[in-house]
Amino acid sequence: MRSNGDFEDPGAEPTPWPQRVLDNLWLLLVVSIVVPGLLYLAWGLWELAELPRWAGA
Amino acid sequence: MAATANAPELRTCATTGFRVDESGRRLALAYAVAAVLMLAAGGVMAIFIALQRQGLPISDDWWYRLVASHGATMLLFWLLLFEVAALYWGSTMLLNARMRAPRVAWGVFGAMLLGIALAQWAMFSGNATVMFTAYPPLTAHPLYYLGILLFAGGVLVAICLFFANVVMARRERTYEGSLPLVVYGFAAAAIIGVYSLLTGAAAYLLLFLQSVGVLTEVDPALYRILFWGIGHGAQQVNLAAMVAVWYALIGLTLGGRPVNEGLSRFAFVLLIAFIHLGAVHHLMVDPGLGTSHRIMNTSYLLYLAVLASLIHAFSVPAGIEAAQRERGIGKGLFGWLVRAPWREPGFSSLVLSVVYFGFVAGVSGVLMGTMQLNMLIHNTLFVVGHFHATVVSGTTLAFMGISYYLLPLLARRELVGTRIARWQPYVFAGGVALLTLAMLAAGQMGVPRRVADLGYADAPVGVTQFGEGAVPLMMTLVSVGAILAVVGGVMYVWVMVRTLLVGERTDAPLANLALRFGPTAAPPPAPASELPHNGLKGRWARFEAPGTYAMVLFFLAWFVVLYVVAHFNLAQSWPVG
Amino acid sequence: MSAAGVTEHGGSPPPGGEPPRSTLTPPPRVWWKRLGPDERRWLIVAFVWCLVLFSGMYVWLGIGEQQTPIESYRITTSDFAAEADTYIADRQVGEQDGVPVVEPIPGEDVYLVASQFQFRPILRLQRDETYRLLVSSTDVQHGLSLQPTNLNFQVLPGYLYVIRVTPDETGEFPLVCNEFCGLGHHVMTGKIIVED
Repeated sequence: MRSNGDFEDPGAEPTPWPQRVLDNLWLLLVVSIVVPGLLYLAWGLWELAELPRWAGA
Repeated sequence: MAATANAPELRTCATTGFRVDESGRRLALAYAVAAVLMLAAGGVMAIFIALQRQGLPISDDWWYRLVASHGATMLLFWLLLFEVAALYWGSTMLLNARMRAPRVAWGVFGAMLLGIALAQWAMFSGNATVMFTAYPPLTAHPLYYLGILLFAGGVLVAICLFFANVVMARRERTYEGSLPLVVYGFAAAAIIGVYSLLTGAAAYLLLFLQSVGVLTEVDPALYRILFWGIGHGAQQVNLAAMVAVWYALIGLTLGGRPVNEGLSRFAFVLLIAFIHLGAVHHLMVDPGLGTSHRIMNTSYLLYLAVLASLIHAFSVPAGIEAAQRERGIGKGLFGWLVRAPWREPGFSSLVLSVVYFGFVAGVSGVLMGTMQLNMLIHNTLFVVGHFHATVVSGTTLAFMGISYYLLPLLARRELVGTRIARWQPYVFAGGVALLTLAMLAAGQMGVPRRVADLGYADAPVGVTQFGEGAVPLMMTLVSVGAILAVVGGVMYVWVMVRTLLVGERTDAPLANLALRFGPTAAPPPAPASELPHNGLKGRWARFEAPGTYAMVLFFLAWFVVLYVVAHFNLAQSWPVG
Repeated sequence: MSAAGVTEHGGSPPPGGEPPRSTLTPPPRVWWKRLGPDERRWLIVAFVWCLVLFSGMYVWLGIGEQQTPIESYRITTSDFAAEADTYIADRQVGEQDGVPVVEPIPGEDVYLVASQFQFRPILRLQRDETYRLLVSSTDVQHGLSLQPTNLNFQVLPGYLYVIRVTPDETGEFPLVCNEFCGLGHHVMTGKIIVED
């Protein structure tokens, strides 16, 4: 019966790099925080900070 | 293959074949039960909220308290408690792995229950009528914020334990290669949850500090930017968990697998990377942000997160279609769907959830997020209709569907009330469909959200707008839909409670449901790697899922039409800018 | 190698083959594979639609008459209240239901105050003229909702939102608050009157 033992077979081809990237949960966690952290949060807070004061009517 | 040589053997479930860690099972069960109880509580509140519109004598003050608690109870407590149950199930049983740090996990459970109690006390005593959005300068009692922070912090720790389970399972090689797709989806939900909970906790922490006098004020715009990281982010956690549950139901009820693992996983990654940008959807008509920030974020950067959903919109039905075609069920373009197991509660809730989420919830969401269209619906009942379509007929319905399998398995009891279970998804989906379509229509007519009296009877400047035309009819339909949905909810809770209390104890539950997964299920006749010819001609002959392909094209046409109509609608308004 | 009949993962024991793949079991060792023809087509079509959605907002920026107001400033609640009161006193032409009615000069800045639980003043505008509404709150967050044309905006204390508006129909148009602002949220209304 064929088991999943071929995972340990040193002769087997390496897994494709897209697979390894998609499987990397830590990388995904970092991306999930950095992307919105910069594009939404940091940028948004910067826009608020740069908002001019109303100079009067 | 390497077994967990150093750890004692885990019991093997006779129904699914998974190895079961007892503390994982008990924790998942505890969270699932707590979740169902929260759903029931929120549902009771829904009755009062809906019937007040039709004349049930509730004071305005109490109506607002109920709306506040209904929101927190459903959006936070019901959904997140169920998701933690799913995370624990997915990282232990689905990986044949152990639960790490169970004592910590139980402590966290207790803390979360305490948090719920504090928040509910604050809301019901009138000390926190600020709605789950809690916008400053509105203030609530410090214990409200503390309660929510305890709950959110608990979810964050549960997420850490999920990752600990997964990492250790990989290390101990309790599974080989990549995570099962369902667990991958739960991992996506967990990852998305981290950023959500961090920004949400930051927002609520600011409010807490202000409520005890450490801060004098919290800038409303700053708060909104932070809060909507969880306000919308938590909904994306729900989205990812819901999609994972869809895939799980395909596996359980059809013996199916994804047509392309890479495509489905890639879609989850798009979600992980870009979904949080959509928090800006709630800030589209706010003072303070520039045009570019709004457009870049509302579009999730080229709508890449929407692309994720569009991929799942194909992959999920395609998984159903492939599983059916593999077994030779159904002929032609749609026979596989007609001859599908519509009596299985897991299957019907799957399809109803997918269809409604796509056609109504998803499309309305993208329309609302379109920068200039947002002006038409901000803070109207359209928003309320949208999010009931997403989290109720989408996520909640899917969660109900899988709990027909999950709870008996976790509780090791036979399901009680199978006949009710077979009807329940239809009743619930029907009620919520009516409720949400009526809300969307009312919102289009300008009906505001969170308003206790749409007749404005006590307003000095009278407003008769919402007592005229089709609005009263829509609001009646909202109430009718709500009642029907609650009936569907009662059916579900009834089955769950009876199963848990009087279900026959057994080592092999789910004997009375047509499960196509596990050692007791018959494997598909066709070889697992190839689908039989689909019987169609021309280029359709080579398609893996021709029926699905036709359906998604139809869905796209629907989307395009609504997008154009919405802009036409916008053009009728006063010139503004 | 494991003995036949022992399941490492969930799924039926294989009758001489590997256990059936499922969404609930680990995928094959190598799962990155070519897309089927229908998947590839849909992916392309879906992505094109995403690009259309994205550019749609820019297109509308060019051709639409209804745009999201962007111009905003910081302002203290007391400054806003004081300037608004001065403006109202200056332009008041009457009163309705206890709320001052103001008739602005076309093209000018018009103060619109949101507070618990009222929008003031009532505005009397001329059709097809453009006005710059200066909107803010003197207390908590509110929602400015103009009906039935159904234009809705968020109003924040400490922030001035400039909303340029051109009424294109005559009549009396209610303002309602659609952001929960306290227990009087359902009595918070206002009005815009448009005349020829």
